[in-house]
Amino acid sequence: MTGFWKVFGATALAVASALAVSGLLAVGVLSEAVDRQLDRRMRSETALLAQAARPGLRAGDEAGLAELVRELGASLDDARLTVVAADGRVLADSQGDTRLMDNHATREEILAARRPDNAPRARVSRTVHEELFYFALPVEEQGRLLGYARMAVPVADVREEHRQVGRAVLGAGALALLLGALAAALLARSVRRPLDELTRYVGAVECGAPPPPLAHALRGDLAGLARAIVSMTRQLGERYERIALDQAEILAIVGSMDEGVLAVDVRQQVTLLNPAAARLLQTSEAAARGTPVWEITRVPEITDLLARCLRTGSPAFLELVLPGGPHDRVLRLAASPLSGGQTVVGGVLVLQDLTGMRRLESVRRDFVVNVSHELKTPLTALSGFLDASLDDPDLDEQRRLRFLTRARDATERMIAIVADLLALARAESPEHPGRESPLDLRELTAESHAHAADLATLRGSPLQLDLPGGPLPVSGDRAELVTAIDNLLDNALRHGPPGGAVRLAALLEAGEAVIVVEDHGPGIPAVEQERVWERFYRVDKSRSRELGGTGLGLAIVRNVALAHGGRVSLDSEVGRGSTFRIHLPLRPGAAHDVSSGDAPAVRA
Amino acid sequence: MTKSMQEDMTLLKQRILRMGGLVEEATRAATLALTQRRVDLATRVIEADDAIDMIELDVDEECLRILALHQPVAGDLRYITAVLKINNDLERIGDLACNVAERAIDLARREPLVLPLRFERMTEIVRGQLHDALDALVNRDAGLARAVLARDREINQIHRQHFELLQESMKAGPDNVESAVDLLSASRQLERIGDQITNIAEDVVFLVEGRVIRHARPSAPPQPA
Repeated sequence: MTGFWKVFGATALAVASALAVSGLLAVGVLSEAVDRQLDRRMRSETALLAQAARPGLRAGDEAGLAELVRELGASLDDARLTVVAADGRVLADSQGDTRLMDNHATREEILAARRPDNAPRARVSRTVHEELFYFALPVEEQGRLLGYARMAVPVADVREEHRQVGRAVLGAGALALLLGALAAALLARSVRRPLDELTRYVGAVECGAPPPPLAHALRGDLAGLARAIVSMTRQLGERYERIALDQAEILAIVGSMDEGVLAVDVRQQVTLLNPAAARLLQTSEAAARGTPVWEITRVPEITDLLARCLRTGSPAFLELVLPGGPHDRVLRLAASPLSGGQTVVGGVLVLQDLTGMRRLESVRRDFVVNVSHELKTPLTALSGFLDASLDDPDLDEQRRLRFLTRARDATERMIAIVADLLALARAESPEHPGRESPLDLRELTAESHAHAADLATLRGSPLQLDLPGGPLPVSGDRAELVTAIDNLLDNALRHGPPGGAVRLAALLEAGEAVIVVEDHGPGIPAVEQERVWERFYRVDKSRSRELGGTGLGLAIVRNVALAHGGRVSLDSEVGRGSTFRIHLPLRPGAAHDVSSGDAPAVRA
Repeated sequence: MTKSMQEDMTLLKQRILRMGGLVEEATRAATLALTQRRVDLATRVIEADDAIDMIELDVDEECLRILALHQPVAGDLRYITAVLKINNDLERIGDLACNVAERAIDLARREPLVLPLRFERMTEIVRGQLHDALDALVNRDAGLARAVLARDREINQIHRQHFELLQESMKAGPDNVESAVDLLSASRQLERIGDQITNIAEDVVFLVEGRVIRHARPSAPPQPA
């Protein structure tokens, strides 16, 4: 409210000083008027007295004069009337006793009466002991002085009149001041109120609070400014909302991207980091924001790439291979500068995890190479034996028979590979009506056990079979599942040492039907454990083919398990042996048939 | 702290972390080269060592420059001295990683020894320790640094087991001796890397708390020769 008091004070001060000046002037003018009126009255009334007293003076009729002054004096209020003889003797007086009065010839007014500067003057009366204005006029007849007519008015009366004039002016001034102050207050308010309103309005907008309504600013002189401010505020609000919306949209898009996105300013401090980038760089969004990028990731290639991009102002790309785990991680990095006009104000780094893609590519490439290679070996052998048989017509029967037997073996091997490839392709086809048949996994396991009996005998390996007492109901394709178990058993018998025990079991574990094949072979190194399920992947490249495997067995097992809604797992330690498992979901609705996992197992 | 000094300190921090990043990568590549028999990674480590040595000189020079130019006190002085020491430790780790890589190349040329050696676990600890020690430096986290110290014991234990296993293997057959010597050497280099990392962790504790904890720990189990 200081603004109000400033305007009010200034206005009120102006009004007050104007009133003071005009009041003083008014008092002066009015006092002068009072004095002039007194002068005129005294002159005219004294002239009247002189006229009226002439006959009395001429006749020397003192009693008549006394009567005259008494009558006139009574009609002229407080005025004291005196008639003085030419020699100064007082002949009549309206208020005093003439006998007690001394000679008035030396009184100032009598002396001044015949002078041209004759005017009323104030003097203390020796008769009534009061300050009075005196005025005297000579009474003459045909040039002969008959006497003097004198009039006196109390100074107090005149003073009283002056005071009255002052009081009137003061009253009027006070009233005017009051009205002026009121006007000043109204003016101050009309100036300040819109300004205060606008100040509050702009302040609220600045703080982001809803602005108070404008009541007064929209009227009067500031209306144009107020309307401009209101419309500007609305436009700014709309623009801000649109920007916020755009930003939210961009953040949502960036946040849901598979690629990692990281934005930095010129000092390489992180301004934005999406969840994918946080995952790839193993940090969190909250920790990263505002910290320099070299504190988030210490991979020198990443920080170097960003620094180069910011320095040169041109995009930079890099494919980064981070060794680790079973597969090297492959990241594709793209750094682009963010330019504001001519200068670089920051940079954006896009991180793309190519590990999975690269792996798929290499798996596919390997597959083609492997299929060709696997088929080429028996084909070369076949071609060789056939050539040898054809080239030499005199070949003895025994050698010919041996060549043909080897040629047949090669053919059988090719048939096995092609059969496995077909089985694999079939297992990979997602829809297959045969997979809905209700089966008891115990029967399939026992069947596989019977299939493997010959090989087990051949290898001298004891083959143990553990089955639960109750049924293990699953849905599936009988042939596919038996093939899968066969493959696992085959693997275990071939790769284990001769005479090494192999255990086959079907059991219920954590709500799943599980096939377990356990061997005591050389085991599989941890880095290879994930890859053994890949097609044509061989842990021991040289040995496996000698053992007669196609390299597709485990791939078929895994694909069959996946096609049946299950999965495979492997526990292995080098030097201890391996345990392969097929996990299959139980057939829905058949749960009540299932014996609990604690039921005594029947050992076959 | 003056503005120019603040800038210098930021630059120093960036350099030492870059150094840390390079050493971390070298260690990771060297350990993977050892456990996965990958010669390509090993050669990469040996080639990258020059870059690490260059940055070590850079960081040293920068530290001395700040000391001479700004005469830092209290916390800043502690920071500079800690960085000087950590820089030295990191460079040493880089050299040790090179040694591991060289052993890895030799080993990859020969048939693997089938022994229950725990190099994977050992390298996993070393990588984790180095990562955490550098994180502790970045975040000035004394708690994390102390956790790094605590893990050194397992490395020493594994190294002792390796020593015993390899000794047995050497006694068993002269064919094994070459590989066993290389494996033992690699194991010792890894154990030394672990020691250097504990030095870094101790420097971080000094940097954060201003307390020297070097030599104050309970003595480590006796080392095999």
